[in-house]
Amino acid sequence: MIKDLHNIVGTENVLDDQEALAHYSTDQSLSHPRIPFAVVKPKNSEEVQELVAFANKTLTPVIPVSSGVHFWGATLPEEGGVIVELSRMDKILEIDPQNRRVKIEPGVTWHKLQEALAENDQMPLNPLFPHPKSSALTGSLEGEAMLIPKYEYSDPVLTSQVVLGNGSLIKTGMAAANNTQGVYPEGPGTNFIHFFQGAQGTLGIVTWLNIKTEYRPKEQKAFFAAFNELEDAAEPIYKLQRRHLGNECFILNKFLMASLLREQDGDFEKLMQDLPPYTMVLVIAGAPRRPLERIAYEEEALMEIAGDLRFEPAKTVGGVAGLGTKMIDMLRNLPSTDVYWKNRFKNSTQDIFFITTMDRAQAYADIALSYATCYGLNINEVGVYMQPLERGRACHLSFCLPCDLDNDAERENIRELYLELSDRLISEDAFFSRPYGVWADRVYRRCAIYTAKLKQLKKIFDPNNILNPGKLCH
Amino acid sequence: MDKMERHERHDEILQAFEAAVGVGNVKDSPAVMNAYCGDWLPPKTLGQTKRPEFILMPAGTLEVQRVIKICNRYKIPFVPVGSNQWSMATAPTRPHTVIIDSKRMVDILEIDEKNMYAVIQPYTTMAQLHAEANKRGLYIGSPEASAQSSALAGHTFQGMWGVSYRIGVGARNILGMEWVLPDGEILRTGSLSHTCQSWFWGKGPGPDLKGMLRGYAGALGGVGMVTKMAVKLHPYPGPAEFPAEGYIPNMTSTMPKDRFHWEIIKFDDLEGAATFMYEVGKAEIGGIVHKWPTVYYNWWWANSNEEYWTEWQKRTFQDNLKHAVAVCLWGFTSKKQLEYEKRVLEDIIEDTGGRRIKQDVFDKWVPRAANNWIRDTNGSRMMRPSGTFLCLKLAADTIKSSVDLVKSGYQWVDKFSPPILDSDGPDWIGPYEFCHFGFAETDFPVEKNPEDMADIMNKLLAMTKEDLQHGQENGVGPFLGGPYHAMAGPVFKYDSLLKGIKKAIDPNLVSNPPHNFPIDE
Repeated sequence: MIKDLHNIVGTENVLDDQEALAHYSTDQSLSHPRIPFAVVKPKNSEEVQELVAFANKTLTPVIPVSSGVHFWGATLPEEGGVIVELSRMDKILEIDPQNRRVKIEPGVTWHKLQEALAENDQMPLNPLFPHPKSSALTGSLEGEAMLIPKYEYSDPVLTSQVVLGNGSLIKTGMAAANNTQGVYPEGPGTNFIHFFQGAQGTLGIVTWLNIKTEYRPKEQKAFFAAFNELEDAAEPIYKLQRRHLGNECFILNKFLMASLLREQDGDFEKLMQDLPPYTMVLVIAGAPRRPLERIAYEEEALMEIAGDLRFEPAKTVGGVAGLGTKMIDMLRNLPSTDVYWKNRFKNSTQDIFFITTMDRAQAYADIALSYATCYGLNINEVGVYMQPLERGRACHLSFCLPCDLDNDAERENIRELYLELSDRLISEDAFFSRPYGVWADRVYRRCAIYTAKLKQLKKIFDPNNILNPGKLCH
Repeated sequence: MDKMERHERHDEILQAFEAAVGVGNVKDSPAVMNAYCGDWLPPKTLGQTKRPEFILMPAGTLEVQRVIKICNRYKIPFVPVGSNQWSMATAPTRPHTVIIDSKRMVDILEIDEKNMYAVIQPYTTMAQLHAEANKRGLYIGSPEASAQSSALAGHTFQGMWGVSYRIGVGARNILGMEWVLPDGEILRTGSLSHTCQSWFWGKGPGPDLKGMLRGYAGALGGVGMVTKMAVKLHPYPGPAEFPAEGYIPNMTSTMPKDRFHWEIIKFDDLEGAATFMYEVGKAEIGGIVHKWPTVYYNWWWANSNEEYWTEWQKRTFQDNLKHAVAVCLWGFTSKKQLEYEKRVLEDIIEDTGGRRIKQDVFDKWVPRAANNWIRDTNGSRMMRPSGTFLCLKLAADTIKSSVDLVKSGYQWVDKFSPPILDSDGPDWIGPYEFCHFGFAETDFPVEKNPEDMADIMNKLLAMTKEDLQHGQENGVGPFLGGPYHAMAGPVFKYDSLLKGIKKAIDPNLVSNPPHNFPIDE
């Protein structure tokens, strides 16, 4: 079998030594290690197709991997198999400023993408300060929450090229036709890209993806507002979003805010002391034309809403000097170092996240923090992140549990907390739209028909179940 | 029209349906069947439709489920029907067809003003939804089919709205759904899959099965019937009640001047108009942007057939509005936003070499027709000049590819005129989602008689086949549904996937065959 893999990708692109296999058998989640048979590194979609053909012939699972770091167990081989490491496919294939779109391969990181787009006055719609090695393609496909809720869409995905589990290659949306620019996600046929979003590589291996970009502002102002409770921030955000105010808008509790800023400031304890319980970050940005005029009217409207609702947008919180400039710099220049900001406190963060509406966020936060207390955590060391989506019609809510993965007792404690809290949140109707790892069974058992139809779809796209088996409901 | 042939077990089936939905909600008399043989589009005119055998009016999801299960039991086809205004697929093409008429499912079940969505049933109209949304400082789009059409169906069909410049087409506005599949199972999607109270999110869990419902023109009833749908509503700076002065057909409408402002800017060519639209999108201004063809201006404006053709012969619209782009600025944030956007628009007009149209033409058209693109879109007026209209090319991709497609459409329109009536090079281009996308249509009036319709349809089919041979999508094909997918599937490599999906969820092939894939042919 190894020889077959050599023939497909070249000897130097097949890894089967213990060290490599160990590296791919774990990630930053609490999942148990799962050892692959080999790791292969294809360079293009033709080699990916050959690998899938090989997988079908030998009934060997293949697990597509594109980021250099993984958090949720989605890339661990549940049933053994070969890791298809897509990092060699790291080209930005096309930047299209006219239609505000970029075409990327799986190995392109958010950092690399942001740098390349900046040269064209564009920016990606990235999630909250992603890990420097995170794949922009995977993040977009998996629906990681965008920081900018002012657009009506909540994901930037357009069209794609996919190697299906049966080895065939398709292009989704208008990319299938040769008399278009290949941008619009729908038709001909049905809306196939929907099936690959959130699929964790179980229905196809995406070998390139077109995503939206937006104008990278040259003028912008960051505002910060302090709140004691999450629910205190909800109403202001509802109002701000209804009036189309601002670009980036998100809420971090003081633990996450301190974790984010400590790289700059280096004084975590002081930040924890001085920062408010919750901070809303709102960036008002100028458009390409008359940028300062747009900032002016938006700022005026912001202050009007703030006056009505009695909150105070300020240039900083917690007395952090130059916070506005720092925040904008961090947003426009994603970190490129290997040190992930969320892992500065301990060597991992276990995130529990789901979609809900902002008016329910406080109730979930209360549950999460009370569970954390029961498990002996200091609630000041639990992260809370609320990301408004689609003008505030919903939100991504995330609870971040720091965990020292090298400490067995702590790991086990956090694992139990993670499971029990997830169960409770699901029972309280938190919508786990991205059912990773242990969430999958919990989510899919609540929606029998959805699960059954997904399984039927799997049989069509991947008849031999060789694509990342064991994930989702497969 | 065909002679109606009854199923050999007609009475037994009738009884089953009466048990499912109630005696008064089932019809099988030939006189009633005649009313459901077609809509305004060609199949009826061309004698391609059949009479259904039963008309059913279920009250909700469970009754729809019962009906569909009965259809599976007897292996008879069903067609789900909304307002039945604008579809090529709601007239039966098979014997013994059951029409599931949604007239009793007419409510807005819920509006969540804070989280901006409404839960609707299949016969809830856009007009109802607009009225309720506007009261709450929210809005939604309206398709060309007009505000009297089904809001739910509009979200599953093409869904090109007057206001899609910001909010996208209907399909991009679907949240949780309750959906009776062709096999009779009830599928709930998005957050609704978890609990029957949570409508707020449309995707997942995991892969989004809503993908089965969509494609450029939707599945045309070939994947069951959606019986409840949550749809996005959007912040609206307009008045609680849509302003209207006078009465139809002389009604005018003027939006508050401190929050809405129309401009119509003319260019020398399509490329100039396209450049302008791209700049407007990049600047993130505007609530409505369209490059309408001159036929549209006359369609929406004229109050009668005579008025249409009289004005057309005067060339009021052809000489003043060719390659013109209409922009309506909306002050979502404040009055100052509107003032800012006016200044930005002025900059763009200057930079792109645009010119305002003559004031008298503006004053003639805007009060009478413009704001219908917010609320009503005047769809039925498109039928007036000749009894119907058709389209040769539709694009759904980018503004640039829309320009290319409509230009390729000009020569086809010329080639087929007559029977295509004078339409001054039809070329509607609508930029969507701040010009990330561009849609186009080459719509034209054509005489509604069987000979001319047959002539055009055959030419359309020939053109589509030729385009497919070159790997090209002309946008018209998807409206033909199943037969088109059978041709296009092998070209674009989705035939086995779509066939597999259809067979999986519709094992007895009862959901409006031959859509969305003709398994039985």
